[in-house]
Order: sequence, then structure tokens, then C-alpha cells
Amino acid sequence: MKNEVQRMKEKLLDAKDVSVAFKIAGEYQTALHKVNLSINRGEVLALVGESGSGKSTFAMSVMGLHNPEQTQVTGSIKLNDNELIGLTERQFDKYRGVSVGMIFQDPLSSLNPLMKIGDQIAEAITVHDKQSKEVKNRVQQLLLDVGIVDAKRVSQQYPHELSGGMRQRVMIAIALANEPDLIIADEPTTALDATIQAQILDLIKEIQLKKNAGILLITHDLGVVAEMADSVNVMYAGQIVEQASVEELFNNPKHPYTRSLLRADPSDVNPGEDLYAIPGTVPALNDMDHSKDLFLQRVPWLNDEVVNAPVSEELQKVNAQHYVRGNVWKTFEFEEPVNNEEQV
Amino acid sequence: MSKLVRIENLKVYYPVRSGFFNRITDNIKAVDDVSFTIEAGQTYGLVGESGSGKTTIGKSLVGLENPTSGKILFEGQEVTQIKQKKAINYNKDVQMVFQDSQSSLNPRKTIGEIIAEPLKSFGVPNKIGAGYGGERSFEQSKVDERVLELLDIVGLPARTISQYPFQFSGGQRQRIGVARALATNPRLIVADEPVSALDLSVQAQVLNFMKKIQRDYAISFLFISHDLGVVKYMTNNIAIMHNGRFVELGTTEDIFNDASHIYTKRLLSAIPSLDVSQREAKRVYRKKVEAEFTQHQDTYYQQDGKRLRAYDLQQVTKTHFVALENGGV
Amino acid sequence: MWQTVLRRVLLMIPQLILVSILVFMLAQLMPGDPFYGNLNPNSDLATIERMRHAAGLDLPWYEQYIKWVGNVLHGDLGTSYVVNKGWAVTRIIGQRIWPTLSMGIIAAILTYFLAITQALLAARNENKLIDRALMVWNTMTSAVPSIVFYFIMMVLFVYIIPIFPISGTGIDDSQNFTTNFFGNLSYAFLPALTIALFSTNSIFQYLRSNLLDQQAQDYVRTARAKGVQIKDVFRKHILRNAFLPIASGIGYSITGVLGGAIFAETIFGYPGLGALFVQALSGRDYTVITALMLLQGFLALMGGLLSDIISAWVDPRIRVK
Repeated sequence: MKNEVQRMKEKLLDAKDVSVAFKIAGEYQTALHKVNLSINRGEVLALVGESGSGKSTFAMSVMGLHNPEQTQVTGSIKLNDNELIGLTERQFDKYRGVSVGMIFQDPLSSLNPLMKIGDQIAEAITVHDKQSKEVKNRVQQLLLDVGIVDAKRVSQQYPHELSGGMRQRVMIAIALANEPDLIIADEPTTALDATIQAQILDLIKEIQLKKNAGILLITHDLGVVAEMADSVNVMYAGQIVEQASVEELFNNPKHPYTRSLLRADPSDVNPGEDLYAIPGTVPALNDMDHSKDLFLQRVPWLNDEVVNAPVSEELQKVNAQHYVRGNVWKTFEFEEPVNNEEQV
Repeated sequence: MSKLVRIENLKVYYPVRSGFFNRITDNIKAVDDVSFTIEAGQTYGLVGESGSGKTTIGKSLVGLENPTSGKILFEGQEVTQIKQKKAINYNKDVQMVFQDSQSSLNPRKTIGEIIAEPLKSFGVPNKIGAGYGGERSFEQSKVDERVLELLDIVGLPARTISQYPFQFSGGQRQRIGVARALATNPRLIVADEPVSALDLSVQAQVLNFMKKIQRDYAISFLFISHDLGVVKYMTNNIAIMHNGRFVELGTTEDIFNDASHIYTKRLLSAIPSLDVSQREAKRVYRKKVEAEFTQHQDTYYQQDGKRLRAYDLQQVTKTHFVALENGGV
Repeated sequence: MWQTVLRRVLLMIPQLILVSILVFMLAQLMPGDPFYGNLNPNSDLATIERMRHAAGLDLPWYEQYIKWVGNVLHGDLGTSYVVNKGWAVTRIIGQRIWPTLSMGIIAAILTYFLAITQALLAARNENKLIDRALMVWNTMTSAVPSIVFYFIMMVLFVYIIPIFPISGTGIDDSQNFTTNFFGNLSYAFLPALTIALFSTNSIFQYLRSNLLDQQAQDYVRTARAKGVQIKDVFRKHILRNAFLPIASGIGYSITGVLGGAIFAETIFGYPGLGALFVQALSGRDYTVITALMLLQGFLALMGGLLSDIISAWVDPRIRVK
């Protein structure tokens, strides 16, 4: 199904019906169910969800970083029209770091503590181009590009000698080393202070504009989404529940989960009101029946029939920039919860 | 409004040793001359980035660190050093909720035992209510009763009393931490980044509970966080810290509507807003503030070696204080 | 950094003094002495008493100690009364340093080489046959007393397939250096190999579990995200990080080499410092015993210092600025 969320730009990443199952205790359990999304060049797509939503699992699938013996990935992920699912390990090695670069969450643990910064960035280049002569200069340039002014000195330092913000800049430099078309940023600012977070996000935005790269931004922070994204996919329990442009999502949210999240965010709620605390918890992997809308179990005022009703695989259209799972959204209203306590 | 806690000129320095004889060559000034007052029943936010000293203040207040100099007074009595706190059973009135629930709950104890522990040390108060004086019982039956009451207040079923921390989610563990802090009817709860590690919906749950007990039992709260959004929602008064000193102090309205120190403005400009249409404008504003911060540092800071050291706080209105050289912008 | 090293070296002086006192007292506390230990029906007590007096053994212990320390500082470790009657202890020890060193160094190198290879194989093939086999092998070799294996190896390679010589060091003053060198190698190799083969367990286990831990670390994920192949990830990233805690142990291994290997030397008849120690102990040869123990103490202290230096060199996080 063609989403009209994209403007008329070159399509970079096209994921169709992507499902991921993990082998746990002998059985395969579905963590990701038929995810459809696409990213264009120059577009920032945010994948929003809480823990257990499957957003990081999707990113790992694009990178091919799942353990092949314990994971089953089905569907199609095409980057620049090249199919990724089914590539051999060797083929993936060649493509990682070249067509797609990844920025991880915790830059302290994500950098090798025993290697100098310069060497770690250089590795990103030399692993694909052993003969590269200009490595040292390219490393310096990359450091300058990410806003590290004292490039010469920093490249001789070790990760623990840098601040959190600097380390994240280094991670960005590594991801950018080979000018990838797609950049995946997995919770890039969660471990950082507020002002540094803003700087890093601004930097990512700058780079995106300069290189016209596509960005897959994975986060649980709605503020980050509002600041950075062009389009948003909200995920819950391995499924996409809402797909919209960023303006549509914040001005006109439809799916009960999205609306609940917005009500739980303290920056948007009056101090006098209670935050909306979503009752219940995310279901366990082996308890996810993806034929229904799994979030509805956590809406106490809906009756059982509605909660257990099977839901179409296709997202329903709200308007050209906005698609939602299921039908409940059409009539969904918040009611005073019976009690604000959890059914454990 | 009675003064509950008064902190005067608090300094917490950590010595740095170097050289051949391992002499003390320098000090890390984690907290560098901080003074403020906590009144009964009020909520306070202590905001700063990593290294600002906010956690150190929290620890000194609760009795996990000994300050280097300065005074901490509880209802007029001096409780600066840990042994002074122990002498008056200070911790029955002042408790802490920690950031990482995984490591702050003893994994080998049941949550019933965890919550009962402060009750065993300080006794069970007769009634739930902030600092209700009067008798405290040490009977086991009263302890058990009270533990069940507390579980109920934080919304956990009674059967969880014999379960272990690993059997709970992050949000639930954090509520256990709150129950433990509440056990002895404290008059002040210091919460150090209690929700930073939690998902949004879980965070909402924990914050709601904290608000509820604050309202119901008139407990004072010191909320330590780097997240101004959360602090705005939870507290009435906010202090902003940078490099171990206060740069601005005031009510929540003062800080958000009338931020005067460049560091405060910088923090505020960094908060991502949910208003998409304003984001470009915000980005421009943020860069402007950042430029002002780097270019005009001497208006706002003195140099202390390589560190920026804020000036002393000057009073701007009855409630609003800003660290400016000569007072007044 | 040199400041820390210098300070540590200076701190070693009082430590050494303590060690020397302890060592001396321990030797004194042993029942018997070099002369009474060799009593036979023909011994003349008067002569023995005279010899004891000449050796200064009837003086109070602190006087003996001071005399001894004075001698040591002049390079005189005393004379042997039992092992090589009349020889200076320094000469006895000096004679055995080379063979001890050669065997020890070969043993140490082989041990680490074997342990690292095994650990890498095991970690990369976790839970597969090769991993389990290696675990069984290492558990077995550490559980069974090493003497059993030494005998087996000796029988195998000296009698059944006679490739290696035993009972000697291959060093003879009459030969030239090269002949001595290679001759010694032929004698040293079998004991060294045997020691190495059967003492890999602790390094193997530790390194294997470190490798497995490191595999799950975030920086490995980053390396893979750059496109580094799995085998290179092991070589370039994981191995160094996993080896770190073991690197500090190398300091002790290096200095421990000079301590000699008691069982191996005895069984293979390889006269090094280990065999010397056993001989001196059974003969109550005070002077040799105290000299050797003092040497051991000194080596242990040096080993500690070396370990710290190596740790700081290998791990930039703990370097003192």
C-alpha cells in the first residue's frame, strides 16, 4: 500500500511486511509484526515507542545485526532498491557503514575503551577501503564536521577522557565516515544532558540537510520527535499503530496509544492535573496476538468485544498525511479511569 | 510556613592528590557555597546538568555524605555531619528515593523486608501523616500492618509482599522505593532523578503517586532532576545549579516566565517543546542563547582556574534570586 | 608515571626488610640445623659443636640476623653446608639461574600461547563440540595432580619415544656458549612443555569467560555496524579488552619464573632453583634456604610492581596523569 506521507522525493528505504521472530526457549516469538514504512532522501522519520515496542528490533533488521541462529526476519527491506533481507553475513559487512551508518545510545559503552578516538574513526574508513591514503586527513575533517574544534588532540585521546557530548559527536563522525545514504540514530540523546541533547540534535539536523541523507530516528521522547521529525511512526507491541506527518501527529493525534502518550507527558500537562498513567503493561512476547489491536487491552472503559475484535493489517486513512490502525480511533474518548492503579 | 531545613554556605570538596608524595594539590568543588531554605509542605526542584553538584547536595542532606564545611539545620538543630544526624534519628524525618531502582533495592530481600526496614529502625508511627510526633511502636504486628498499608498507597497488591525486586518492572520498583521512603512518616523526601530511567507512561504513574502522597500527607519534597519539564510539573520552587553553585532560585513561575541568568535561559531553550510549528524559531533562539553564553561569560561568571564560578545570588524580587555581579540585569 | 614507580620502589625497601626478618625467623624456627641434621653414629658431638660455633649458629638470633644482613648487603649470601659443601651460596644459585630462566621462560610463553589459543577457539565456538572438549580437558588437567602428567610425559617422550634427554641441564663449563645454549634447550624443552600443557586452566577459564562477556558489549556492536567482520572483531577489539585483567598477572608470571618449578625439576631431573630448594630443605641447609626465600620474597614484590606497570601501560583508563 502506497502511503502518501512522502513528498515527491527519492525513496531511500522501503520496508514491506517486515516481521521479526526471536527464538526463545525453543519457540519462535514474534517481536515485530508486518511493519511497513519508507523513508525518503532528506527525510527524518521518527520511530516512537516505549520499551518492548520493537523499534530497536527494526533498526537491527535494517543493519542485519540480529543473531542469525536465533532470529527469523521475513518481508522485504530495500535500500536504494537493493534487497537486504537474505543477504549473507559477508554481504552485510560490506554494506554496513557504507550505505547506512548507525549512531547508538550510550556513547561511553559504544566506543572501545582501549582504542584511540582517531583509530576508531579511521577503522570505519579502512575496513571498507584498505588502500585509503588520506585516512588521517579524513578523520580530522570528520571531527571538524561534527563540531570538535580541537581535532588533532581529540583524535589522540581515549573515550573516557571525553565528555558525553563529545563522545556522541565522535559516534556521529563514525557513522558519517563513508557518507552513507541512510543514518539510523537509536536513542542518540537519551544518555545526555538537556543542553548537550539540543546541540547533538541540532548537529544531526545540520548534517541531514547538508548531505541530504535520510534519517531513521528511534526514540521514546516525544519532545525529540517534535523537534526533529518530518514524519512519525508510533509503535506498540511490535506493530505500527499510527503513521503521520509530524504536524498531523501532534495537532491531530488519533490512535488511543498516541493520545495516551501525549497525556502522560509532563511538559504538556498543567501542574494541577494528574498525568494520564496508562494502566496495565505491555504484554509478554509470547502473549501477543497481532491480529487484534494490542493496546486496547489497556483501555479499561472499552468493552471486551471491542478490545478483542480482529483488526485489519492495513492502516486506515485519516487524510493524505495520516494513517491509523483499527477503527476505535474514530470514536475514542477519554473517560475518568475507574482507579489509577494497575492490575498486576 | 515553618522552616524545615536550612542549608547555609554548604561546601563539599573532594581532595585531589598528585605528585611524588601524594599531597593534596587541588580540590574538586562539588558543592561550592550553597544556601537555601526548605519550608514545610512545599515542593522544591533542584535542576542542573551532570557535575552540577545537585546529587551531592541531596546526599549531604540525607546523610550519605559529610560536607566539608557549612551548616545544615533541621528545625533549628544542627545536623551537618552524619553523626549529628544519627544522634537525633534524623532519618525518620528525612528520607530518599533513588534513581536506579535496580541497584537501590537489596536483591536478596523481599519487598516486605525492604519496606519494613526503616520501620524497624525508627518505629511505626501511630498514624500516616507527615511527622506525626507521639508514640512509635516497634511491635512486629504493627510493622506488618503498616507495610501492607504502604503497599496499598502505592498501588501494589498485598501478595507482592513476599516477592523479590527482580520480579518487578522499573516503574513498580520505583514505587517500592517511594513506599520505603514513606514508611516512617518523613517530613521531607529527597528524590534523586526518580523517573529518569523510566518510559513515559510508567513515569506518569510514579509521578502521580508522588504528587498524591505529597498532597495527602503534606510532605516536603526536594526533587533533583536534569529534566526541567518534569520539575515544572512537580514543584513550586526551583533552584538551578551550575558547577556547584546556584545560578538562579525562585518560584516555578519566576524561573519559567522570568528567567534571568544566561544558564537558566540556556537550559530552558534546550527543552524540546511539543509545538512543531515553533521548532525552527526555537532553534534560532537556542543558537542565540548559546552565543550569548559563550561570548558574555564574564557578565555571569568569574574564572576559578579553568572552571566558571557563578557570582553570589542577589535578590531580584521577594522570591526570585539571580547570580549576577551587581544584582539586577 | 615515573613518580609512581619511584615511590613504589622506595616503598619496597621497608617491605623487603620485613620479608627478610620473616624469612630469617622462619628458617630459625625449623627443627634441626645443618649439622645435627646429618648426625650419624660416628659423629663426634664436640666437632659438631665446634663447627656450629664457627658458623655462628650459637649466637642469639638477632645477632645472627644482623650479621646476615650485613653479609647480604655485601653480596655474600653465606656458604652452603649440605647441598654443595663449602661452596658460596651465590655460586650455587648463580650456577642454576640460567637453566631455571630458560625453562621458566619457555614454560611461561608456551602456557600463555596455549591458553590464549584455546580460549579463543572455545569462545568463538561457544557450546559447540570444540568448546566442550576444551573445557573438559582443562578441568581434567587442573583436577588431576600435575605429577601424574609429568610422569606420563616423561615415560612417553623419554622412554617410549626417546626424543628428549633428562637428568641434567645440558650445560657444561667445558663447552662453548652455543653448544651450551642449544644443549640446554633440549633438556629444558620437555619439562617446559609439560608444565605449559597442564597449567592452562586458570588463564583459559578466565579469558574464555571474558571473551564471551566482551562479545555482548556495546562497542562490539558499533564495530559490526561499521562493517568489521566477526573474525576481525575478535582480533582487533575483543581480545585486547578481554585480556586486560590477565595482563596484570603477567607481572607475577615473569618474576615467578625465577622461582623454579619444584615438581617438574624433580621429576625430570632438571637441576634448577626449584630442585635446589627441595634439596636445601631436606638437608636443613639454612644459608641456602634463607637465601632462596629472600629471593622469592624479592621476586614477589617485583612481580607486584611489574603487574601494576603493565596494567597501566595496557589500560589507558588507569594511567596516572
